[in-house]
Parts: sequence; structure tokens; C-alpha cells
Amino acid sequence: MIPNSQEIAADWSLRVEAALGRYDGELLDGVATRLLKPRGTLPREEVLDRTIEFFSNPVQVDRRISALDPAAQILLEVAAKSQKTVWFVGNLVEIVLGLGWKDGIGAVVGLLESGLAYPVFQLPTTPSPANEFQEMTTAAPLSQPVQFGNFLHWLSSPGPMGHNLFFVPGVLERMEGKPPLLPDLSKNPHARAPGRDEEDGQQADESEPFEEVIYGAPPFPGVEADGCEWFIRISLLWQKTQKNPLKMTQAGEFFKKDQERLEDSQLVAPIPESNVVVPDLGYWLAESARATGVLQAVDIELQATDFPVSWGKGWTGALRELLHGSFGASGWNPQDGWKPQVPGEPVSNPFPSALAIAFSLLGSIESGSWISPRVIEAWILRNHPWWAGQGVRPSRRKPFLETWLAGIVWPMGLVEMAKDPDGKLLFRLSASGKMLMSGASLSGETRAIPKMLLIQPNLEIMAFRQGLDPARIAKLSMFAVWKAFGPACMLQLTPDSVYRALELGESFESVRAFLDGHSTRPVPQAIIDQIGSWASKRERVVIHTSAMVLEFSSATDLEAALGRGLMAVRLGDRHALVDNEDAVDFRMFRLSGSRDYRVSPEPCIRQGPDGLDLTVDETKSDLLLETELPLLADPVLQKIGGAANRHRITPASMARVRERGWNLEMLEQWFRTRTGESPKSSVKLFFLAKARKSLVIEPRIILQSDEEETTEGLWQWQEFKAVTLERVGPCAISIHPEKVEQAKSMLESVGLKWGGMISQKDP
Amino acid sequence: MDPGQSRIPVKVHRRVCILRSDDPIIIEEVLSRKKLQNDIAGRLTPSSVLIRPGRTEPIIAELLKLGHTPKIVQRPQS
Repeated sequence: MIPNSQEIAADWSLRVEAALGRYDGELLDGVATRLLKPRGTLPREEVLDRTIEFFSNPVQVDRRISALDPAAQILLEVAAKSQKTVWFVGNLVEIVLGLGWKDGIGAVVGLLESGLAYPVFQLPTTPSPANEFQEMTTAAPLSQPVQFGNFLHWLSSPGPMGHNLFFVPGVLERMEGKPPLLPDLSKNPHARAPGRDEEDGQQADESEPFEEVIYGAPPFPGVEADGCEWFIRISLLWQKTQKNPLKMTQAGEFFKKDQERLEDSQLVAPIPESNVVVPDLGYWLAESARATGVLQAVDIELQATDFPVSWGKGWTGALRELLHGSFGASGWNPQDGWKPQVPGEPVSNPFPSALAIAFSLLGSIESGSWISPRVIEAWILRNHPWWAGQGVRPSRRKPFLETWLAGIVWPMGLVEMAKDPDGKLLFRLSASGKMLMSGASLSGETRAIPKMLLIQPNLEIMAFRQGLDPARIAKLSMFAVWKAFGPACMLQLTPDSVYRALELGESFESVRAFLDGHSTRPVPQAIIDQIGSWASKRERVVIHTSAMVLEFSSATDLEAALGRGLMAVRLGDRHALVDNEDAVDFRMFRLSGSRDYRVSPEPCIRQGPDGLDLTVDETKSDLLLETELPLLADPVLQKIGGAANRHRITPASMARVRERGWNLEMLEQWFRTRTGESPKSSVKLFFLAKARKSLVIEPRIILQSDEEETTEGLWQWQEFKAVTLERVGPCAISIHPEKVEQAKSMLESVGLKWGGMISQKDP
Repeated sequence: MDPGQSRIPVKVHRRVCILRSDDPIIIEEVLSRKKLQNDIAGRLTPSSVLIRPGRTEPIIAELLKLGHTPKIVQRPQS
């Protein structure tokens, strides 16, 4: 997983250590020399420690920034203005090229070599008692990561996450207040790209004259959104995908029925006051939900997951993630709408870099001035490598920035919008946008109006938008269903929605406290009782999806373990259930067996010579066997204080198996799994006897010969065959009881000597 | 652990799916559902039922259909 800016802010030092751990000795020395300027060669451990320490010294950080090439510095400026710390390297290269420099890779490598940016690698897993225990039992060796000797080597071998790098947050903070390298297009729409400016010293690009009115600070009334819109709609999508995840085909397209869900009229309703049609808005919402972690890609599905932590912390982090998601929505862009990337095909998406440049240019205009999106867009089209040149198709030149600013960014509340006298849209950063760009927390992380709910006896909740923020939207979305969202939003409490909230970790008390705390009037008692009734019902049945069960050899041992502080739920006399393995102190136990239920069971039963005796190897057996065996066989020998380890299959036990609905195939499968071989005939006899033709015991008159040839001759003699019933053996033929005399005379007629009749009573 | 204490022999069953209820009627109700017979291995203790690996979803769906609202306890992320 590629971390987002919020995660980098939390664990950047671990990630710096992880990255430095992948540098070989020579590369580490090179980076350390440029960043730390030591007097001699430092041991690896000291480089790690001093690098982390370095970023707490703003003076030193400023010095290293000023020593960078302008191309690398401007990358820091764009990253700081976007407040985005994690970047796909390809986008950074495009930004450098789009700002007029010719060597995009060089600028990125320069940043990495300076030690101000680092490649993103997976963090090593944190050791825990459970992990240690698992390693002890599985003996899985840990592979050592490969080190690389230079950054071109890293760029030539992308891992599963591709090439992504991150800037240390402290570096981007130091960019605040530095003179901008990006031009102010509100003053000069024809300003040359900084890289080109540096190369030939000209200040304006006259190659494509651009007729656009420049607005300084005219007194247009600006309109600012409350910032709630996308959080509400993403929450609505989250609710719709709770039970039915969105599914995607191999080609990266949504299934037909999911396309219809993404085009749902409530989800894609026009945004009031924006007056811009956002193409395929539902798809953008799905991509943003994925980018911000509200939906999670699992195989071919986009599944609803927990709301991001940033939503619970207020506006800044949540809006930042939403903005970054809007830069890099992988299958959506403001020009074409939904355009999924075909897996395995080369990725060519210029919009993350173009939109990051556009947002940074918007942040570079003089405070209070308005700017037309067409000015910024024309500047990008002139300079960005994707659009530069004469051979670009007209479809690629369709306007996109106004759609993105008015349709996507304006509802976030990050820009103000106004109309010029001709009715054309103008933009500037809002106060929230400026705060976000400066890296400061937005004022009013939670809304000032705490009382914003009106709860009605019919279980409807009216929520006033002035009091909503991401945290409150997330909380409401967990236990109530969004029905409508206008100036006042309508939600509905249902058994399913309350159950969903409880499943997500809420409790009756937390839901009640939220309603009490935010309701403009006392919550009706009937509503509280109803929620309480729904919540208490849930506690009656508990399903543990992946628990650890400890099986003790006696009740005394279980008592002893509980007495020593084992935190577990007692299941019976000898079994205890633990949900959190990390909380178990395994040092108090001696392991007599271990079984992982996600792995196929291994044979743990030995069949006796007659196939009916089953002996259990208790070191390999599992709980499933404990429930299966009483069905298939009866216990034979009871161990003192323990479970039976010998069982015997009986006709009665096989009858139980048949009554349970098993067939022969199921029985054979069970025996193969549990004993490693097929059931013996005796077992099949007991199992199938009832289904077979009934057996008969009857007296027969048998003609017994001492020679097989004689019997064969008689059997071929058609006239004699007429007095027989059947041939019962090589030398025996059954004679019809009423034709014995006839048979005798026929035997005599061919000269065979008749030996007489033996009665049943004769020995 | 106190070094003087002996270690307790134990068999560890990891990643087990279990349905638990203190109400014996619910346990009987689940065990008697023919639809769930392939998903449930059997009764482990009077208050718990062993679910076959990976078969929790149909059981949850059936319980919801029966009007129960089971509490789902997932394995915590370590």
C-alpha cells in the first residue's frame, strides 16, 4: 500500500530509516555527505540517527534547500503548495518538464541524493508476541531486502508499488514564506515557464498571444461552499456499498449493474450553485473514495471499509486527502470523465501533474485577485509535455480546468468562485484553501455549531449543514441512512443502520451520546428505547471470525491459566477463547499441539485392521474433529479427565451419518482427509447396507460334484439345465426342489453315480 | 511468569470461527437449520458452535434472516 500524506506525517522517521536501510554503503555515504556534511565517514547507525535529528533543525534544512537546483526547488514548492508529501515519480518528472526544464529525472534524482526526499518502501512488520509465536511455530524465514547503489538503479527496477517518493514533512514546512518560483498569472498571463525563463532570460511567452482580461482585485462577490458536499456523497456511496461492493472487470471497467449504481440520481445530483456538469461524477466519487481509503480494492471488488482516521480529526487532513485524490484519480479525469486504465497497459495520465501545477499556480496569484481558469489552462497547455506541440489531437485540448475547479474543488470549500460581467467563472483561493496551502490547520477543525440535529419521532433525523464536518458526517453515516441532502439533510434510523454502527465499533451509549450532544431538542424517549432495543438484541449472538481457542487437558489447567491472568472467554470446561492473540503471554504454556484452521487439516486418525476402529492422534487433531467424530463413531476408551482417543464405527453410528444427509462421496472425502486413505469395505458395508437389496437366507438343494469339469458339462446340457435353479459354485449347482427325481434319472441316464441326499440335520 | 510455576500444557487452535450464545434456544435453532448444515461443523460446548473455516458469511446472512443481529468479532490487527 502506498501511504498517503497523513500517514507519512505520522511515521516519516520510520520510513526514512526503511529507505536508508536499502541504500548500500557507498550511496549512504554520498547522501550523508550532502545532507549531514560530516567530517569523516559515519557508521550506518549514526547516519540513521543523525538524519532523523537533522530535520528538527530548520536553519540546516533551509541551507540544504537553497543549495538545490531551481528545478528541484520548484518541485518542493509545488509539493508544499499542494500539501502533498507522497508522489509518483513520473508525475514529478512531468511537473519539472511542464515548468520548462528539460531534465525531469535529474531534478528528482537530485532531490533523492540531497536526502530531502526518499523512496517509499514497505515498513518492516512490528514484532509482537503473536508474530514471535507464529515464527516459532512456522519457522518462516524473513527475507532480507535488496540494497541498491544509486537512484537510477532504483528507478530501473520498480517494485510492486511502482516508483513513489516522499518528502520529509519538515522540508515542505520550510517552503512556506519563501519567494515563489512559480509565476503570478493574474499579473502576467503570458509569463514564461520558470525553466524556460532560466534558460533564455525572457520574461514572457509571445509565441501564442492569449487574449484574456486580467483581474486585479475587482469587488466581485465570491461564493464559497461549506465543504461538506463530497463527504456526504462519499458517505452515501459507502452506505450503498456496505452490503454489495462495487465490482470491476479484468479490463478495469465496472460491471453493468454497478455502473447503474454509480449513475444513481441521488449520487450524481447537480451541485447547487456550481453550474458545471462534472462528467461521470459517480465514478469520480468511487475513485475518490478509493483514494481516500473509504473504499478498499480487494481483488476485483471495491469494498466499504472504516472511515479514514483523518475524517475524525477535522477538516485539514480530510480535505487534503480529498484534494490529493482529485489530482490523481486513476480512472477519471475532468476532460474525459471515466476512462479506466486497462491493467497491464502503459499508464499515461497527465492530469495528476497538470492539476498539481494548476492548484499551485492558483496559490501563486496575488492575495485578493481573481483569475480565470482559462488563463491557467492555456499556460499549462503551452508548457506541459502532454499538450505541448502542434500534433496534439483537438479532443485532448478540450477545456478541463474550469470543470475541475468549479465542479470538484469548489464544493470542497478550498476556492471561492465569482462571475465576471460576461458571466465567465473566476476563482481564487478561499481562506480555507490558503490555510491548507500554508500547511496550517484550518481554523474551526470542528463546526462551531454543536446543536445541528432535529430528531423526529418517526426516526427521521434532520441535519443542518452549518453544523456538519467530516467527523460528524462519518458518525451519522454509520447509524443512519442518508435520504436527502440540501441545505438541511435528511437521514433515517433503521434497525440495519444501527446494527451497522454497532458492527463498526459503536455502542448504544456512543450513539445516544452523539444524538444527545448534537440535538437541538431533547431526543424523544421512544427513539432512545428503540435504538436500545436494537442494540441489546445484538449481544445475544456473537460470531468470532478468526479467534484463537486454547484447549486444555483438564478443567484444572484452564482454571490455573485464568488464575495466572489469561484474558479469555471460557467456552466450556476445557476450552477458552481469545480474540487478541497479542494479549496472551505464551510463556505460561507448554505447547502440546498447534493447528491453523485456514490451512487444510492433516491426517490425524489411524484406522484399525478391520477399518472400524479409529485411533486419534491428539497432537494433530482439531476442534472440527471433536464435533465430527461423535457423529461417525462411538467412543471406546475414555481417558481419565480427557477426551476419548479411540472410537469404533458401528451400524448405529453409520445410520446417524446417513440421517445427517451424508452420501458415500462425503464419507470417502472425510476418511481421505482425516485418515489419509479410503474407508475400508466394512465401513462402506455399514453405511450402504440399508440402501442395498435385502439379503435372503433360504434352504437349497445343491448338487455337489468332485470335479469342476463334470459340473461344467451338466451346466452346458440344456435339458439338465431345465431342472436347475442356478450354478452356485465351480462344482455346485442348485437343483429345483420339485425336480429332484427328474434330475436323478437324468444323471443316471449318462452313467453318473448318484451319491444320495444329505439332510440338513446330517453333519 | 513466576519461574517457580510449571508451564500449563495447551493445544492452540488458531483462526477458528465460532458462534457463541448464552441462550441455548439460539444454539439449537442454528444447529437445526438444514440450510446451515454444510457451514456448521457441530456443537463444541453447550454455548458454542464451531463454524467451518470461511463459512461465516452464509451463517450471518441466515441469522439476519431469522431476525438476529449477531455481533461480529474480527481478528484485531496486530
